[in-house]
Formats: sequence, structure tokens, C-alpha cells
Amino acid sequence: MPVAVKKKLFAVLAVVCAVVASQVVFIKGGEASSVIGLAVCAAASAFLFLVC
Amino acid sequence: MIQMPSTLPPMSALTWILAMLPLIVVLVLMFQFKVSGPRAGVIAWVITLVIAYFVFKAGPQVLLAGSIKGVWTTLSVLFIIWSSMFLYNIVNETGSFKVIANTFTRLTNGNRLLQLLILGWAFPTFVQGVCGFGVPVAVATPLLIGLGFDPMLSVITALMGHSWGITFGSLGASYEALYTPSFGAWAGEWAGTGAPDAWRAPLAMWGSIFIAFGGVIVGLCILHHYRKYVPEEEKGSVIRKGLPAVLFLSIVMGLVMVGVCTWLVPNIGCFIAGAAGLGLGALVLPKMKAYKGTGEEFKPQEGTPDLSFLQAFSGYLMLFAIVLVCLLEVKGVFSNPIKQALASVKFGYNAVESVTGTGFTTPASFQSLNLTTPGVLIVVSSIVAICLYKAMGALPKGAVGRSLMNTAKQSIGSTTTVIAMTMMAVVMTESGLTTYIAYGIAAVAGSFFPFLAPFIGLLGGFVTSSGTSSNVLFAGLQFEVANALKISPFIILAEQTTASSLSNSFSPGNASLGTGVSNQSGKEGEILKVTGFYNMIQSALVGLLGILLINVLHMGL
Repeated sequence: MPVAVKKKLFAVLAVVCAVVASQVVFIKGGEASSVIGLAVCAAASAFLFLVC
Repeated sequence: MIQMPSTLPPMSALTWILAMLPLIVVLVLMFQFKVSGPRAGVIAWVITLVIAYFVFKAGPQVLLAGSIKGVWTTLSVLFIIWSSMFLYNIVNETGSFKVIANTFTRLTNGNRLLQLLILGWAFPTFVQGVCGFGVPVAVATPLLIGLGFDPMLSVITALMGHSWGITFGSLGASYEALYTPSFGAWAGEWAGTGAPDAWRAPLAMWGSIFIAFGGVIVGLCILHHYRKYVPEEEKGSVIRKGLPAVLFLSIVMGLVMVGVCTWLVPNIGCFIAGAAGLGLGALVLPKMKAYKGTGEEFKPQEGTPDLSFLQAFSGYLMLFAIVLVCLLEVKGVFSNPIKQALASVKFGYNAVESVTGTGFTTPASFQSLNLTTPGVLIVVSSIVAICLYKAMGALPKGAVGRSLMNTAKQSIGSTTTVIAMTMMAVVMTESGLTTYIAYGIAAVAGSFFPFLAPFIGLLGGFVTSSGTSSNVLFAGLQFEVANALKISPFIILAEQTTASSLSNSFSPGNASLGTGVSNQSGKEGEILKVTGFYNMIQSALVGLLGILLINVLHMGL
């Protein structure tokens, strides 16, 4: 499989993992922990931005 | 005068422009600067977070809840993209597209216009009748490419061709979404019976009339767009040559649509209209004088496998059969136990309630997917298709592995775009930006509202990539405005649902699906530029019909 495709697959996985972590860990903790969740999602999105 | 709800910031032009900014940024980045879909989506998502936080007082929890729901929402779309691409690759491995192409070439006397209109317009309408969510685009695009049409032309034609039937397609999901409790109560009072179901018959009639009108426009747009792909000396004659076929198909499908929706069951309007268009189009049109063959002997493509049309098409026939068996259900007429059993197997998560600082609330809900999700049905169809083609000896060695690899390569680009765009769209919706934009349009419109109502439906369709979601989002607003202006809610809601259906050709999600199945990832901006142009014209024409019926002829009450 081409490297570019692998990178994009990893980026998609990163976003999905960030979102799952946010739902399971961060969002239930209220506003303060939601900020951490948003930061995690933003980091994964930055990865997506870079590889696409 | 329409008032902004108290749960949103006070009405102001600056706030309205800020609410629009994420959409403007996406369009400018993709159209003007040719930025890729995922990059434009991520940038717009960040801008949405900033505006939602500072202007709409959406706290981190609201923003995070919207982002999570955005990614979750994409799962069923991504499932369709990947599974339909896999099915396409399996069928392609057997060489069946050559058989299908030969059959349609022979049936249509080799007439390219007829092939485009039948396979790019009537066929997706038929598929939309039973299975929406982008499946018609995913199925029709490869068939058109297999017939030798330009991939960009194939995607745009399939996008426009399937869009008009959406309201009464997918077995009526979008039509049912037009109902709101206040509309039901109003309709009951209007009918003098108090029955909340009194909205159904007049809305089905007006809705189908507007949808049929949308069908005529779609046919003309497909024809107009086809001009780009013919040699310079033939451009002038495309409209003249194609007009009889467009009129024939739009009259057949439009009349059937209005008849079925008004006098039979609206939920199957698109299915029957598509079947009539496909059947009569393939049988009658080639016999018309304008489309008679040149008398040249038909030569099949080289390397065509020894399969009959039904054998070659069996992969897709399986899909239709499985969808019909699993999903066919008509509310109040026929209940499908298989659908109920499949729908009972669900998985998902509990989305928390989100409330902005101004009080805009999205209630807590269980976000779920179940086994009736189209992706599941396409995967099952693919497995059955593999078995069938193997039994026929049509599937070469290693075909399944190659199909999986090609599916990953072809689908990953659109996957990244859909994820980024939907995150932005859902945060916009949950923070109140989308509702604010719609109320802003309604507030300045006044008696001009029947013209602008379709643009609200268009906005909903663009943001959510779904006619049903657009109706869920804006049917209540459209009804409230119509009620306040004392004009026909039936016609206004018909405009809403027609524009939201047509806007499915102009949504990033569907454009990504189209690029995914045609192996053109990164060209979403080019597609949206074309479909956006046609969509503006379509919405304006729907609005003009609304003005004519409401302001001039005073109809619909």
C-alpha cells in the first residue's frame, strides 16, 4: 500500500481515537476536562491537516 | 416581523456574517485557492470553534459534543463509501462493466445523450427510491465511467440526477421529517377536523408538484452541463438534440411522482417514478425519430467476458433485492418484520445535552447505528456477489484482495474530507450558528420570503449533506415564518424540501463520495463549483415558482 495512503489512514484513526477518548474520558468531566478533549481532537485534526 | 429566538444572540448583520464565515471560508479555500477538502474542513472547524465560543457563547463541552457527534455522523457515510467502492471493484474485476456498457450502447443505439440521461438521471432516481444516503451516486457513477464518460461528468451528472427525488426517496424518510408538532396542530385546525395528520395529503401534493418541477430543472441542468464535454462544433446542437428526451423523462417521472404521492403512497413516489423513467426511457426513447440509430453494426468492446447482462449486473441486482427485502416498509400500510429485527440490533453512545451560554439547547440523545444502515446491506450484497461471480467462474484469482487494496486507495481521500467537513457542520448546528443564519434570512425577507425559503433548505442541505437533516433542522422555522406571514405553509415546506433535496448535489459530503467512487480525490472543489452554480439557479427557480403561487395566484391555503 502506498505510504501516502497509510499516512492518511493513520490520520483518520487518530481523529477517531481522539473522539472516542473525548467521549469516554473527557466530556463527562464538565467544562474543564472538555478543554483537554478539544485539545486532543485539535492535535489529531492537525495531523490530518498535515498529511492531506 | 420575525424575531430571533431568545436562546440566540440578538439579531445583527455582523453576527450573521460571522455565523456564515465558516461556510464562506470552506467555499473560498476550495474554489479560489484549490485547498484540499480535509484542509479546508479543518481550518473551517477551527474558525467555527472560535466564533461559536466568543460570539455564540458555546462552552468547551458544547464544542466537544458537536465535534464528537460530527465524527460519529460520518461513520454511516464512510461505511457507504467504502462498501460501495468495494462492490464496484468486485464487479470491475469480473469485467462486467464492459457487458453493461455494451448492453446500454446497443439499447440506446449508441446515443451518448440517451445513455447519460437514462443512467445518470432515471437510474439514480430509481435507486434513490429505495436506498438514499449517497448510494445512487456510488452506484451510477462507476456505470457511467464504464460507458466511457468523463469521470467528472459522471460524478456531476449522478449527483444532480439523484438529487431531485430525495424527498420521496429512501422510502419517504425526508418527507416524514417535514412534520413538526406545531405544523400538525395547525393543519388539524386548518382541516377543521383537529387531526394532526391533516398535513399529509396537501403537503404530499404540493411537495410532489415542486419536486416534479425540480426534476425538469435537473434534466435541463444535466443537458446544459453535458455541452462542456462535446466537441466545439456540436455544442450548439446538444440542447436541441437532448430536449425531447429531457422533456419525455421529466414528464413521465414528474407525472408518476405527483400521481403516486397525491393518490397512492408518497413514501414510494421516487421508486415508482424512477422505475417508470428507467423502463420507458430505455424502451421508448431509442425508438423516437430523433434517437434512431445510424444503421452501423454494433461492435462489442474488446475483452468483454462471456456473461449475460443479468449475470454481469447480478452484483447490483443483489443490492436492490437485499435493500427491498430488508427495508421496504410503508408507514400505516405495510410493516416489515425483517427491518424491525435488523433495526433492533443497534450500537452507539449517549450524547450529552449541550447548552450554550445564551440557552441554545441540543437535548441529550442516544446516537446509534443499526443493521439497516446502507453500508451493512452493501457489504452483505458484496459477499453474495462474490459467491455468485465465483460460481459463474467470472472472478479471477486474487480479485478480492486486489479489490480491498483498491478500495483503500480510492476511498481514503474522501474519508478525510467527510470527517473534517462534518465536524465543522455539526459544531455549527449545535452552537446555533446554522439556525441563526436561517432566522436572519427569514427576518429580512418579508413578502419576499417565498423566494428565499428554498435558500434556507439549500443551506441545510449544504451543511448536513442530507435532505432529511435539512428538513429536521428547518421545517419548524419555515412553518413558523409562513404562519407569521399568513401564507401557505404547504407551499413553503414544499419549497424547503425541494431545495434541500436538490442541494444534495452541492454538499461536500456527497461531492467527496463522488470523488471517492470515481477515483478523483482532491477534486471536490471543482465539483462543488459546478453543482453550486446549478444549485443556485435551481433554488432561484423554485423560489420564483413559490412567489408565483403564493404572491400572485394566492394558492395553497
